[in-house]
Amino acid sequence: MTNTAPQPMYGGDEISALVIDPGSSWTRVGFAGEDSPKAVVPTFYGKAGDDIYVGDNELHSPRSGMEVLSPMSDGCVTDWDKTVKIWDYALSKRLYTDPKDHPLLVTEPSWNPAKNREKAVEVAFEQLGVPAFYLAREAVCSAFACGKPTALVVDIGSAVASVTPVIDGLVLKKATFHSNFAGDYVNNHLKALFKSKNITLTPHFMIAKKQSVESGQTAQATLKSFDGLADSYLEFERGRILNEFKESTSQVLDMPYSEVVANSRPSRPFEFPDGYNLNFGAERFATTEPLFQPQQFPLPDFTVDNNAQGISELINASVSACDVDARANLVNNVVLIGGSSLLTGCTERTNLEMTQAFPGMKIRIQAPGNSSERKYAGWIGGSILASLGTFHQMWIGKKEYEEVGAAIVEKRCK
Amino acid sequence: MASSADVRDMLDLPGRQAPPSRPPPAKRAKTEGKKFEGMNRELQNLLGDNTPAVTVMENRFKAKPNWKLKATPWVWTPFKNSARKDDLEFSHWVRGTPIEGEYVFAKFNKPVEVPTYTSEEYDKCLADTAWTPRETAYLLDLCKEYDLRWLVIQDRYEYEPEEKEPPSIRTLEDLKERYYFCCRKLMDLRREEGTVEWTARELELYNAMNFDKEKELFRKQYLERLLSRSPAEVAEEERLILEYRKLQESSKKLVQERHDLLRLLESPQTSSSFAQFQTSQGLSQLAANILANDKNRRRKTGPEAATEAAAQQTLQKGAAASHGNSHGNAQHSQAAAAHSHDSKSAQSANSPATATKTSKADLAQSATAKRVAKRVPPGQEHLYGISYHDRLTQGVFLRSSRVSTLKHTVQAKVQSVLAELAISAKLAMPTAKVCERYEALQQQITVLLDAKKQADKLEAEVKVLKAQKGGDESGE
Ligand SMILES: Nc1ncnc2c1ncn2[C@@H]1O[C@H](COP(=O)(O)OP(=O)(O)OP(=O)(O)O)[C@@H](O)[C@H]1O
Ligand SMILES: [Mg+2]
Repeated sequence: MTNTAPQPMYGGDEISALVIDPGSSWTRVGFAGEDSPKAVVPTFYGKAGDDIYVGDNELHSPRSGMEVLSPMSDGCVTDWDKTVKIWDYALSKRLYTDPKDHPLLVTEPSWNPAKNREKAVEVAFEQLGVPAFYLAREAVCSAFACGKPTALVVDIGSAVASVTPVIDGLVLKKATFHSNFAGDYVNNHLKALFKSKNITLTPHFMIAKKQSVESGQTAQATLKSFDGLADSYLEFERGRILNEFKESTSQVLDMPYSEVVANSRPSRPFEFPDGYNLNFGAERFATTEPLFQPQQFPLPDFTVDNNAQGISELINASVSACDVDARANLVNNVVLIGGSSLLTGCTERTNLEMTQAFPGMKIRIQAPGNSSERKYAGWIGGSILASLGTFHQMWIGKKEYEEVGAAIVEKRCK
Repeated sequence: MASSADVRDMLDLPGRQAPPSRPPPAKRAKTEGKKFEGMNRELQNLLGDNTPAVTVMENRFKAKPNWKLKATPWVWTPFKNSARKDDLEFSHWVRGTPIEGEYVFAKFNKPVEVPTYTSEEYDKCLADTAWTPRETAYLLDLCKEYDLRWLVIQDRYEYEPEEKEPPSIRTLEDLKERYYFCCRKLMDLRREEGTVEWTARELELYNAMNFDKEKELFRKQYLERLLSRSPAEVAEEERLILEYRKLQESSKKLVQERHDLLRLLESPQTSSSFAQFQTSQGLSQLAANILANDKNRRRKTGPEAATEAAAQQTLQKGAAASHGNSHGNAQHSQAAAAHSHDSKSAQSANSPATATKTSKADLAQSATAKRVAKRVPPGQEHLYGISYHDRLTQGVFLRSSRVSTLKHTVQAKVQSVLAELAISAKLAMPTAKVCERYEALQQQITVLLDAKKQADKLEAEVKVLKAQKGGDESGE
């Protein structure tokens, strides 16, 4: 019957907080203290007239005139109304919980502009009505998820690839670099590849019946017909095929791309939803190469600006922007996360590029082996942070917000 | 059992007056003091006052749970965190009845101490043309906010100069220099004013804050150079280090050899009396000693087998013994005399005229030898079975046993080569000539093996270098 105080050695103290990690393709929502998000919902909304649709089921059902749009750009939330709708859906329909009863921690990219941060605080208190709020840097959370207070966080997501140095749990903003050569960019390359091969991408929902055909033969599928589907919706649905292709067939070459080497690697078949299937050889590697060499592998009919930075350049720029004293420590604590880092060979290639860029330093890349730990690293770190006893002094309280205003976020969430 | 009374009775001895009464029954040893758990009482009694040598542990089961007891409740309890400036309340689960008190994690809220100052103090000691009071305050604020994490402070340093102020571009070293300068100046000031007494800790702190910007910049420059070496440079450096090690090794060897050589040149120690070398016996002993020393040294460096030196030792002993003998029989057989210096010197010792003044070379060309040489035509000695030796051992031996042995590992290799040449390792007819040729052959084989080893090594090195070169080219 004794009141057992929390053991000082164990730094956790659950206050039943909620954690939201909004990414350009997926928003991850769950309870702090758990090891993976309870709900992962697409960060997209359907818009048909005045109606807004969110959540997997609604988004994927074909509706005439429904546009599918993203409330984010450059990794930052820009359309707050729609974002709140998505969060609200996740919290009430998937977690069955009310944000009014729980402190809320939301992650943000390190380059989130000050205005946007203030908006986030405002939305949390005014619209969601949370009792306490915190805006955490996603990179810091990712580093924490890998158990590191100091790390060079390399996050290759869907819309953005970013490199962020984290020192003692604080990001170095001036040394943070990001580009849009990430998952979605690979999708664009895949789309161009299929177009050049005259492959039509028929989304899953259109297929009524299909027959298996020999490799390279025209598909034998019966299609359902729909009226008035918006292009953005079709693009969204086709994106699923591209993602499937990336997850099963795409690969990063373990050395700078060369046609000869890529051709010498075994080819792999891929079957499209309509039954059409083909063997893919060097293309498997050529379409992911722009992640590392954007200039040399532009989209057809496009040129890539000379200042554009692939993963290796981002890393180089970031490390060089840090003080000399920090560099050795950073390259020895590289954390590689984000969904697109799951591309086979990505870790090895990053390692190779870094070894060549920093020959005098010892390089160690930590990439979680578990795929959900990679995709949800930001959320997991947030979950850890929000359940630490020592963290509870950091929350922005409702009263503080009312007294100081949204500007408090700059002071508190460093 | 017969008691002593019965024996006395049998032997008709007078019985004792008082037949011994039965001793009182032994008192049960009181089990005082500790009672050991898990030990039978009887067993414990046997122990008496002694403590048991081993502790007996009884295998007990866990206490039965008390089902009737109510479960300890976990209560959703609101709490206040004293580390917070507002009175925001969170709730957490607490086991049992919650007790009021400081929040457990509040004690970890430790800010760093950043000095504060008044404007008079600033004017007195902190004024600096490069810094305005406003910027100094900004810097100190930032230091406090980021707990002196300099990398972060520099990252977040965004001072907006007021009008008329020059734009501020500060390096990390500028910031550190200013901060530590302020800290030290303020400490100085306060000590002078006598408001604060300095403890050892403060003195240490004061000294530690002595920031040398130039040195720091130099260090960073150096570090930068170190870190920004190209792959080729790193490879080159590794190669140089390797070479340096090799050179070091060979120079060590050279020094050792030189040292040995110098030792040879050193004048012999003349601590003992010179007289002992005046007799021929003493002289030959000296010669033998020098020879042995030389052999020993060579054994340390050269690949000769250890056994050889040992054989040498016995050889010398034998030689010494033979001198004794030759002394005894004045008239030694001529053939024996012609065989070695040692014996010769021993012999010539009999005629003191020659013994005193003849050198070794002269000894070799002794009268007997000359006489023999005169009668045997040159080049035909072997026909007569005449041979000249440096030294001879006493007694009979098999010539094959004198064939020099090599180091164990080398011997094995040599033997395999011999096997390849279809030459038996055991000589069928070990005549002097055969033995000589055999040894020469062995010698040549070792030379060959050495050469091969060297060639293999070089070839491997060439291969490695080629591979390296190929890698460099493909890497570029
Ligand atoms: N196994 C896989 N192989 C290759 N790519 C994958 C794999 N799994 C997910 N991806 C890709 O990773 C991307 C999603 O990653 P992630 O969830 O980290 O992005 P996000 O956080 O939503 O977006 P961002 O970080 O850009 O704002 C998608 O482009 C998806 O196609
Ligand atoms: Mg992300």
